[in-house]
Amino acid sequence: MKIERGELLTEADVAGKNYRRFEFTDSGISPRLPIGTPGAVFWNTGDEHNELGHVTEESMMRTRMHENRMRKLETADREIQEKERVNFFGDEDAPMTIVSWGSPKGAILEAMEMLLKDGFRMNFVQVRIPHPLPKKYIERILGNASKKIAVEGNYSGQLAGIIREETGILMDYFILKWNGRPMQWKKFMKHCSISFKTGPKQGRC
Amino acid sequence: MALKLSDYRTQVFNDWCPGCGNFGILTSLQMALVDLALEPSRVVIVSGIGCHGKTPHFVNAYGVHTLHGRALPFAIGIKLANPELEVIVHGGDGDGLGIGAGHFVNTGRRNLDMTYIIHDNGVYGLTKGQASPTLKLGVKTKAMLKPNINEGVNPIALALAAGFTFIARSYCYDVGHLKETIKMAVKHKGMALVIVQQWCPTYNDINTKGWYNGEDRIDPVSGKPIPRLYKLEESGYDGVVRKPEEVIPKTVAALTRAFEWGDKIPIGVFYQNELLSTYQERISQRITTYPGTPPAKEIIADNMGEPVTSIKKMLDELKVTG
Repeated sequence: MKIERGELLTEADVAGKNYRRFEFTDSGISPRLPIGTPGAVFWNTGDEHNELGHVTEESMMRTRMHENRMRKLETADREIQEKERVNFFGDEDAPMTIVSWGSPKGAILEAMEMLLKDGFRMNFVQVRIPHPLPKKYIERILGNASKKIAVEGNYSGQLAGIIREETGILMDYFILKWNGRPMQWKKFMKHCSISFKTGPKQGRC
Repeated sequence: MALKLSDYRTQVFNDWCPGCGNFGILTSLQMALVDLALEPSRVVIVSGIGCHGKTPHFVNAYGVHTLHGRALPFAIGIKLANPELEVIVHGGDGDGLGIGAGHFVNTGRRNLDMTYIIHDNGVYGLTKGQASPTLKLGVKTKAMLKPNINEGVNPIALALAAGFTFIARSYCYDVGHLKETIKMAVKHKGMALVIVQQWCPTYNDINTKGWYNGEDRIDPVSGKPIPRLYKLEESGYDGVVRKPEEVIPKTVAALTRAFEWGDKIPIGVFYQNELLSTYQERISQRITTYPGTPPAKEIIADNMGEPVTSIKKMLDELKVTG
C-alpha cells in the first residue's frame, strides 16, 4: 500500500504568501495546510464561504465555489481508473450480468457457482465507488449482457437507480432484500431461478 | 515586533445587530490575545452555531466555525492532534447548553487544557429570540407568547458538577474585566470556562444593559443606579484551590455563589483548581511519546509513500488458522 498525502502544503510553501485554503483551481482541489502551521491562517465553516474560508452569501462567490467543488468529481472521475471502482468476477463474455454493491457479494459468489451447474453462466460487477460512477465500464459490461440483474440490500434498488440515471440502462431483474438481514445464497438462488423462468420482475430474498 | 489589536482583526463585514453584546466579547478576546502575545497562527478559535458562531471570522487567527452544539468535540480533536496550539472555543447558551449540553459535561470530565467562552444572552438570537436553556422560569422576553415554562440551567453549577477546573463569569461590556478573565482562562492549566453575561438588544428585553446596570433600582441617597453585577474578588471571595483538602469546601462555596441571581450577580473567578491532572497528562502516562510528537506532525509515510509503521504483527496475531 502506498500513502499519498495529496496536495499537502508546508510552512515553506506558504511563507510570505496570502494563503487561501479554498483557492479556485482547475482540479477543484485547493491545496491544504495543517491547522496551526506557522505563518498562515485560514477559516473553516459549514456555510458557503470565499477562498479564505469566510462565510459569504454573495451569489457570484456561491456559484463559483459550488462549481469548484463539483470539479472535484470530474477530477476523481479522471484520476481514479474505472477498473479500480469495481470488483469484477467471472468471464467477460458470460451472457448474464449481476450488479451489486456491498455485503451481498459472498452470497452472490456462492450462488454463481451453483447456478453455473444449472446452466446459468453469469459474471458479477460489485461497484465500490458509485460516485463518480464508472460509466464506460458499466455500459460496456451491461451492453453485452442479455440479462441484467440488480442485487441489493434495499427496497428500491438504489444502485440500479444510479446506473439508470447515469447511463440510461434499466436492469431486467431486481433481487432485493430489506429486512436488515444479510443476503443468503440459497434463497437468492431460488429467486434467480424463479425470476428467470417467469420473466423480468422484482424478487425478494 | 509586538502584536497590535489590528493584527487580530479581519476585513469581514460584521452583521451582528448594533449594540450586540458580541462586540464586547470580540474586542475583549482580541485584547486578551494582544496581551498574551500569541501569534495568530498559534491560535485556533472554534465556534458553534448561533450569533456567536461568526466570532472566528472576525479574528485573524485559525478559525473553525462548526456545528450547532458541537464546537467542543472539534476543539478537543484540534487540541489533542496538536497540543502546541492555543484553542479557544466559543459557544452560545442555546448552542452550548441546549444541544451541546452533553459535550459540555464530558469536556469538563476530561480537563483538557483549553478555554471555553459561552456567550449567554438567554435567547436564541439567530432564530428570532426563542427562550434558551439559561432563561429563568417565568421570564418572558420579547418574542415569546407566554413566560418561560422551563427553569433555566445554571451553567456555573453544572460546570462545577462536570469537573471544569476554572470557572468564571464576566460581562460583555466590562471589557477590562472580561479581557483579564479570558487571559486567566487561557493561562489556566486545564479546562477553563468563562460564562459571559450578554445582552441581546434585539430579543432579550428583560436582561438589558439597563437591567444589568440596575437602572430600575435607584439608590435613594446617591440617586445613582445600584448595579446588579458585583465582583467576587471585591467581596473577599477566593475560589482558588491550593491544597487537595480545599477542593470540597471551595466547590461548595462556589456553588453557593453560583445560585446568586437577580439583585446580586457575581462576576469573577468562582473556582480554580490546577491540582487535577489534565487530559494531555493522562494520555502521556499511557503513550509515552505524547505530546512529544503531536499526532498532527507525525510522519506517516516515507518519500516513496511507504507507511512508516506496519500493523502486520497485530494482524498476524488476530489470524485464525486451521
